[in-house]
Amino acid sequence: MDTETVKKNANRTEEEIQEELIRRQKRKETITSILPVVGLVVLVVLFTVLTKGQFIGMDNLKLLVNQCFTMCVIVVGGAFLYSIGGLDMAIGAIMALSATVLTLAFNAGVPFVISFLIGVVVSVACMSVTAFIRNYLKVTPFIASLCMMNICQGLVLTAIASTGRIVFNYSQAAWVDDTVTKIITLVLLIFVGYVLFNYTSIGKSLKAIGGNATAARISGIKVEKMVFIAYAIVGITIAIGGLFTVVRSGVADNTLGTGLNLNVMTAIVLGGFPLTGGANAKFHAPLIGALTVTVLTNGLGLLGQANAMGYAIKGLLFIIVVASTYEKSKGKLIS
Amino acid sequence: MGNEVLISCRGICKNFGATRALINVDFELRRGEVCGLIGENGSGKSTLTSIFAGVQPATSGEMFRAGEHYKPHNMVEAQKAGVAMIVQEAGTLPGIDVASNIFIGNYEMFGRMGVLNKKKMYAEATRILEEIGAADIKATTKVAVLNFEDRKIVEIARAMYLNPEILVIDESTTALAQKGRQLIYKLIDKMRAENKGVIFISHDLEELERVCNRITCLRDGVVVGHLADEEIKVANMRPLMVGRDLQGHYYREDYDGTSSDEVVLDVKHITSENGYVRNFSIKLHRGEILGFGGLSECGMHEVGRMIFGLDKTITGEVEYVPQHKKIDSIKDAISLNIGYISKDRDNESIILNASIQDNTLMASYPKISRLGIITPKAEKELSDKQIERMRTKCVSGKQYVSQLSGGNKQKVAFSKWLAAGSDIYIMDCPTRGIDIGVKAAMYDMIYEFKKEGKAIIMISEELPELIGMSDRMIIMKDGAISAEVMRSPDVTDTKLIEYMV
Repeated sequence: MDTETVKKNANRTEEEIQEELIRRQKRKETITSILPVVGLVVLVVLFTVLTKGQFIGMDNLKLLVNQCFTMCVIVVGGAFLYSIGGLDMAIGAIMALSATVLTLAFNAGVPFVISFLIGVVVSVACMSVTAFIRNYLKVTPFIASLCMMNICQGLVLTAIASTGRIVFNYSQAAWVDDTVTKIITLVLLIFVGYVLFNYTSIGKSLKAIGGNATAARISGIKVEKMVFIAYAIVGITIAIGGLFTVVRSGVADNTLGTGLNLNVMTAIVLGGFPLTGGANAKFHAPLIGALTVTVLTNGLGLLGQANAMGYAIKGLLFIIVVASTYEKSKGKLIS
Repeated sequence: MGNEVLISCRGICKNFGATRALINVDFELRRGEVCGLIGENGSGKSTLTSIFAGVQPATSGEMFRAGEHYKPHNMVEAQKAGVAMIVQEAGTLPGIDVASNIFIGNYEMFGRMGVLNKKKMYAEATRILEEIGAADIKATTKVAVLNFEDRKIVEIARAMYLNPEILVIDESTTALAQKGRQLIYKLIDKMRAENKGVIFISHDLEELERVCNRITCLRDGVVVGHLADEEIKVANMRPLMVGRDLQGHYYREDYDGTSSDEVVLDVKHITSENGYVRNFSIKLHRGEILGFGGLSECGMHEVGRMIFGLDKTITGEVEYVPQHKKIDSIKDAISLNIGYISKDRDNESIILNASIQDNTLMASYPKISRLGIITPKAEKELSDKQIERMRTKCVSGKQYVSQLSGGNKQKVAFSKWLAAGSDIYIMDCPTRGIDIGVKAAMYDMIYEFKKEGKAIIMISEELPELIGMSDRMIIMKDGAISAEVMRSPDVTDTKLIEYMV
């Protein structure tokens, strides 16, 4: 073998090694991105087998739609908020306030659509306050949202002080609490959200801000305005979630929206969405997460384990997912 | 036994994900040697030395220390085996005092039945600091109050207290100022005199020519050559690093400092909030490369930021002359096709954790959206065009910027404004921390911009670059212009420095 051939062979192996490494890296990325989906499928299969098919029965599927609906609606907006990083603990309380005000308006004779719009205004206003505190008072959004949570809870308690709860006149808007209405609403929301997130400058700018706010500003992205938009979008979805929740339950009170913050956060994490936001934020991730949380809650309920084991299993799963999908060294989960 | 091998390695490979940082590296260091490690950014110098020092393990390959297998699990283990390293970033802990930093990981040396003998520790720390010639640093001082330079000296003390046989000095990105330099040279001399070994990484090739008696060059993770004794010349090192002869010019070759008479930017009496710039006026012409030089606090960086609308001006205004528009904000500047490249690349110019494409298009979203919608096709087209034009070395536009070398990251920062179609470029230290090959490409590009009739403000801390590229040089001192020098073959460093201080 002459030297030329030796060299060629050596070169080829180097290239092969490089290709192999790129392939391995891609495989790792693929695994990380499909793991949440696989997890969801495994859970569905597992519960179907354990409940002898009851899990995928028509009744339970309807129940699943109802159970996951509010969370799915909110995480559509949540994707925008979380893509710029920062946790929000006020989502549940704002939903309660928005739904309470909506109910008050509706009961006072305001037309349904106008009542709903009033609800939207309330939640968008509340989220804008958080955005304002974040933008101009430079307070960590997490802290800002905690303040907002307390303010909203206070307002709800004031509104229901005399009666303890406000009854929503269910019979006049029964069509809202219908599985078909919900599916149509959700599909529309997801479509609009998907386009906004992936194919407009809003979604792209938000991801850039999540990645590096200073670089985004210097590149001409109007950071403050975009932050407002993100909070407003989640505000709209909160109002929609609030409407459906209050119509279904028939009453607005201070327990409305309890546990929602943590469920949304769990959904975000289980779906593989980085809590710091940035370019790795994928629109579908929190939706997958929301489905996973719902399937888990529902399935354990069917097995009669809703409370006894439910929380423990969710907690355990949370740790497993976080530990296996996040690159701990980079501190991607919470910066 | 002058030529006994102190440390060696065989077939070392290191992968970071799909990036191959080191490929089958063989290396040895003998007694009495000061070995310079050279190579462009991202060639694997720091990776190799950090493996020697136990910071990270190799993916494959073997190391030998004095003939025996050597595989340190951490820096403390390496240090106990006589290998100490001074790292490029300050690796000190700011919250604790100097002595605790020096002996971190080795507190048991001063333990007495589980209790730390602080008095002994402080005494020992003081002794070491004196020994390396930094008696002015007190062992009880909190590291947080020390300046960058002194923190590095604390690190040097930490590297030296166990009397290492092999000292690794990694100066590949940050350079020490005079005080630290002298200290390092003294240390190197001492190590050589004691017949020990030094591995020295530095970007300053002249410095390496002075202190080293052997040079090993890495390129893309592969050892590409060695130089010994008389061969150690800057002229031999450069081509070895770049992999081809740097023929002909490096900077532009002409001495024609003229540009169009058309003023594009008129800066009138601006003053910065921090007071570094006072009542400053300048005009920028079409087709002009306007260089700004001075000491780091002379205000030249602030001038760039104010023109772009990034920093506030207390007095005065910046006018875009062709349209008689005032520039008050970044938005104004970008809408008038002005681009700004920050001095602080990783924090202000690019998003490390995003793709080349995302970074390239960051300033172009309004430009490529049709009815509010941005199609993946439009994105890819615009981004790929810049990758091709800048010759950015990457797998594809989808690759994350964090995986690129310093020079290629800077190319991405340039691409962003190319994509946005900028006509006026404000560049703050555009070639800082990037290697020769990419630097030359950048200079070519800047000169091309000039010929296309674009206007360039180049703020630089490197005088040769200013002299080599500018049509007109503005030397600043204490926030004002201390000299204006036209392009000419007679301009020298020394002349400009006189205006600076």
